[in-house]
Amino acid sequence: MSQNKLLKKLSELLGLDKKERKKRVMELHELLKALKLKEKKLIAKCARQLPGGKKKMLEREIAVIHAKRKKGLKAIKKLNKDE
Amino acid sequence: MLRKILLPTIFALLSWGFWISPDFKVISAGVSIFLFGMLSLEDGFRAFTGGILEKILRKSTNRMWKSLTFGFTTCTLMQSSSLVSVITISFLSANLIGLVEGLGIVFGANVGSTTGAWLIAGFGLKVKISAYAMPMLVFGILLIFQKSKSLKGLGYILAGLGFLFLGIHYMKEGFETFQHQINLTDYAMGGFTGILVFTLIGILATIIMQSSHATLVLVITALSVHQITYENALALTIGANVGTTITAVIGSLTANVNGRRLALSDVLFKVSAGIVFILFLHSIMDLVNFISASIGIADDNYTLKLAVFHTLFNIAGVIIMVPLVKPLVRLVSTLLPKRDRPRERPLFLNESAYEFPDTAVESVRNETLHIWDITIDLLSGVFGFKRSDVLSEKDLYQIAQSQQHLAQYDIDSAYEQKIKVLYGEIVTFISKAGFSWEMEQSGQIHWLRKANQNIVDAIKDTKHLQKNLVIYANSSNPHMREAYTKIRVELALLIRKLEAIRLETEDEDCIFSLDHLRLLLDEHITNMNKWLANAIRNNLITPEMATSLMNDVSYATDVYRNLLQMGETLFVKQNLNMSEANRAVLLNDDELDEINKQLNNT
Repeated sequence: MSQNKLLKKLSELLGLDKKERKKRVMELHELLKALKLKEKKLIAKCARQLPGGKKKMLEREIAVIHAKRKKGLKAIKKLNKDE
Repeated sequence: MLRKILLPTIFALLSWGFWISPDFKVISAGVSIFLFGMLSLEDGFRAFTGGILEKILRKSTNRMWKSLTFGFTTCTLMQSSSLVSVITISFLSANLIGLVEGLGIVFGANVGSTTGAWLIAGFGLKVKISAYAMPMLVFGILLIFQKSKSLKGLGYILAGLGFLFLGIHYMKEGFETFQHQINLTDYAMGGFTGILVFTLIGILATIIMQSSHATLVLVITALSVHQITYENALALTIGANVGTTITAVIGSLTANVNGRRLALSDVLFKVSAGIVFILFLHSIMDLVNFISASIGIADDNYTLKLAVFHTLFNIAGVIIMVPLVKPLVRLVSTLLPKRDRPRERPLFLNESAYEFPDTAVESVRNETLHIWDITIDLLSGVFGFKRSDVLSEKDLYQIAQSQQHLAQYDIDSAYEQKIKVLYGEIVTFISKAGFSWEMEQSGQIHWLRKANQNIVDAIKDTKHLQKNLVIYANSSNPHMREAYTKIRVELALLIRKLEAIRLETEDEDCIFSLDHLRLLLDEHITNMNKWLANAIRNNLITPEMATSLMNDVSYATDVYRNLLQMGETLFVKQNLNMSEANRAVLLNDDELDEINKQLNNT
């Protein structure tokens, strides 16, 4: 058996891969929580009377964060599927 | 510190002067109106000269006599040797003309500036000058309100001349009534001490007013009403000629070494001539009497004789200095040598780092951050800002708009001395590291090499951008100035944001900012294209300017993209503190395009 195959079997046995995946899913959940909070804050800020340029800047940031949250959710789904 | 004390002191002295003498108020107002007239004249000429002046300057300075003629003609028309000096220093700094040609222009301008004294002494004091000033002002102001750039420029010139004449009128009136209160000749000083003291007063007055013209007008006006003696007036004139070199010195502070050499040459020329004229003043006074008598000037016409003296000072200086131009160039080159900056050395690349792949990667990462640090200095300099301003919260638009002139930064030397060396060392180091491609670190090294390439590409694109940036940032066309100001400010703001991202790597905000910056770039490009179309349609800029701007927007976009890619690699992907989760949510170009579409549809 080659060195790489042996290492792969060993990691499967010890569930190292699973642990790593679980760690990443937890990190993503934490990040998504933080993103959701930031999005809420920005939406509240945007609702106030602001000059046009500043409002546009906030809308842009909100759109970016929303896209990241969607991407983060997709990444979690993929990691859970691989399990 | 000195500036903070000087202005309040001048205010305090003037206020005290106004309080003790209403006539002093009139004289000061006359000087202020005169100076305002000169500013107006400068604005007027800028509207016309723009690119034409630069074209003429390049073609008409390949011989010393052409340079002298050019300097004489432009200064006679503009009545400002300071403006001609500043233009010459700019061209010298941009290597468009050499030091010898620059000296020729400055010498010619010195002679040209004497025509002002003739105008005032021969015409200004003999007629009711306000009668000419008032219609000029009225027509000038009317023209300034016109939309046409040429008519506006003509308006500024007419109004400028009007203010000039009005200023002379008030100075003359002020001195005429002033003499009934105080006789300044009571304070006249004879002998060598008197000459030195009044020369010093002339230097100080010119430094404060930033104009030898204004000093000379004051002297001629005071002389015409016998408020000062003829000998003291001559000493003041010497002082005015020496003091005017300060403008060139100030203008050269932001120039390269050739600009500073030109300013030093002007100082040496004027100071030498000043010393000679002070030492041989009485003999020169005899010569002035002889010349005046030959051209029909009455013996008691001291104002015209002063004009002769002023002209003799400058012509004699030029006659002596022109054959000595090359030795003068050698002297100033010795006094102000081109300093070879020490070539930048790597801080983190060393033999011991080869031991382990992780240490090798970390060394390369740190060295890349070192290159980025130097690049901040380089790019800030090119865009006309101090590093401290770029990395602070200061309003860069305000700083850009308050700048009178964008100097040319020597990007070639900076790149050769600092960046190229370090980049070469990194590439050599990576080649010697000898990783096998299966190793994780080899991927990291690849990205780090890419980040370095991004920095170098950004600098090269900046170099292409700089050529027109300097021309149009100083252009008489306000729309081009605005467009190029926007380009350099936005790029400087990008540097600020990237550096903020680098320093705040623990905070998840940093990744959001990079994506936001990428979105901003698309918006900048869209806005610039709209602006360009509008500017061409409404003839705000010429087609030539439009194509230059389009090319430069392309270069600026490349700089922006390269720096963003560098930031993404160096501050995100290669940031060991950052988690995998953060990297997983980085948006790609397609995802950003999708966001742009959504935002444009709302």
